[in-house]
Amino acid sequence: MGCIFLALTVQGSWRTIKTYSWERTTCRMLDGFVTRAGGESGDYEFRPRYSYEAGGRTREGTTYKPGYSGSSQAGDAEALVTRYAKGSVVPCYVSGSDPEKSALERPSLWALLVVLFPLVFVAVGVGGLAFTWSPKPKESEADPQTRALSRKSASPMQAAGCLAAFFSVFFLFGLGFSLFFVLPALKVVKARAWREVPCTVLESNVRTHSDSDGSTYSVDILYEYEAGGRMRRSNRYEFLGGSSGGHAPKEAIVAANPPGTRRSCYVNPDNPDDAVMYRGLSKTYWVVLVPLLFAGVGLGGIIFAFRMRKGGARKPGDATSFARAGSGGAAASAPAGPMQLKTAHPVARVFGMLFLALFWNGITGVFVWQMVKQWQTGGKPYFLTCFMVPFVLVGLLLIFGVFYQFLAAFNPRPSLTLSSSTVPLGGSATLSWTFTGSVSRLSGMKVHLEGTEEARYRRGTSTYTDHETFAKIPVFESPGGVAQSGSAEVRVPADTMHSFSGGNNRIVWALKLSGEIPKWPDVTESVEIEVTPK
Amino acid sequence: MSTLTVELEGGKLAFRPGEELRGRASWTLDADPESVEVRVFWRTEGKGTQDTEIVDTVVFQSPGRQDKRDFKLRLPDGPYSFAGKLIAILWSAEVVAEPGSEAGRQDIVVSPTGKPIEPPALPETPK
Repeated sequence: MGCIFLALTVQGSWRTIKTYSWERTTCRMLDGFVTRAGGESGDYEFRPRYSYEAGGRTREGTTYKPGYSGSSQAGDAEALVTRYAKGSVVPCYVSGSDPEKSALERPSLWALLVVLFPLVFVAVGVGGLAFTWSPKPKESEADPQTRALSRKSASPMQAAGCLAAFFSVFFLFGLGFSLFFVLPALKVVKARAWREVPCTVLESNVRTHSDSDGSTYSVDILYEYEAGGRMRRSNRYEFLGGSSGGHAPKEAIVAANPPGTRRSCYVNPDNPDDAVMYRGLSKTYWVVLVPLLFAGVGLGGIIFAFRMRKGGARKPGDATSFARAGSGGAAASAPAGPMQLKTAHPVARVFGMLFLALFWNGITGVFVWQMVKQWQTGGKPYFLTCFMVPFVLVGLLLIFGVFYQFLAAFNPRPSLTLSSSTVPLGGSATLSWTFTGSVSRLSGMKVHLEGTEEARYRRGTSTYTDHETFAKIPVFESPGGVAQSGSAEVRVPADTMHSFSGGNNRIVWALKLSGEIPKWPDVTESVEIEVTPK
Repeated sequence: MSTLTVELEGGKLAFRPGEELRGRASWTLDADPESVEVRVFWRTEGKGTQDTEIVDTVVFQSPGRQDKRDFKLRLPDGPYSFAGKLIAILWSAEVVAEPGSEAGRQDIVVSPTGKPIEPPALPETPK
């Protein structure tokens, strides 16, 4: 399929390239006007007529540019009437092999970049075939007993690069789509300085754009105004172009501007063909928040990937550093002395959950909206409705999570300090805590140290992480009231496993604090600590 | 068919963290090797995607098709050999000949007790 598309694209591109072998000459403009194309497109087309000398005689041409089929904006076509004014002498191009073929302009060579699109498909196809047919590496055929199991692991740079590339897609697409809103918004700002002129509505319609996905609508009001010493026409209602769903709002605008209406329009003082009827910001501009949200997720991911690269795949306390011969272990390099254990700020938790809920429900909402529209217009999308139920339930749970985290943000908040940044196997450290907020609301408090195995694996296209707790060591328990501050000894057994992080597999030690508040979200904190070998 | 073997001094297979690993690598190959080296490394096995890391390597100069070389490698402080429910951490010394990544391997235990760390089962939580 990619090859067929490539052949068609190359054929089109070849026509463009050929025009660059045409001879440059001069043409005299005989006429030029704007006409409206028939059919559903209804585009505004510039129709020139010019004369030129070729093959020893005078000929007439009517081609503005090979492949040109008009523009949805009347102003664009009107600008060409101005540029190619009657009687003017302008440069033009004539085919050397067939002097009957001529044009005022040649198609842009930038259009050739469209060849890259099918090339991507061809590259993927060729890559897939090469992968399928290429001989398998010798080692995969070898007996596992005689095949090397040791291999250099992927560097943190590679892992960070892959992650950054993944999030770059979100960022670029989000940014790209937001430009469709941001650029018109900038024009709105610029248009505050445009000249106000009286204009008359000539035609007023809601334009329908239909394809296999359904119909979208746009306001199409053709109006006439005087600028630069002559009458001009434009059909730009607002700077935000394109079309969208929802017929009624467009119908209301059209109804308010029937043919013959006289009102104010705004003209660019630097270009009299550049005009607009409404220079404000409509509600549609709020849609920019959706691509901006995607761009935000992408940017956050890229920053995370770069921070990961900066710090390396391993944190200073990760036990894989013990595996490096002669390193002396991370215990030797870790800073000694008391360490404040970092817990997530409650406001960050609220916003984190809010962000997740908005992201999930934003995407789900688009499909739910489509589904509701189908039900409203008499459709019966049973399959889509059943398919959407679990997604909507997850969305509701996330909204519940936002409220839960919001209430939990008013809980008393513990600040935790460990007397040593690392605790060796068989060793101990003192955990101190101080609560801010009303600690009298707590009816009890427990702290325990928990050792957990974490195994991350892929199944299909999804990644899962399984957990298995292998140690649960009580540190402190206060069944009655809780004091504003306190301390307890954290003792790690000698015969257990130290902290470890191999990338996909981890041994995690965490201090878990829970404080009960009757009829309210409980205080829960979990902070990882580093347990080192002896 | 190529044969590669790793023999550890005194047949010792359990080591304390930080200890030195001494032994002899021997090989008989079908073709002249580009390189032969001994690596000491750990790998994970179990439910998760495998992690592996080479912690020390000895590269032999001008290796022959049939050869024997002594080596000395230093073990790090960790990770310990581990046998959990989801994760196992296994240590090995491996002689590898390139091209072809043909290898001979000897599994070892790295732990203060001489045995892999096995976490005791958690007591049942009363419901």
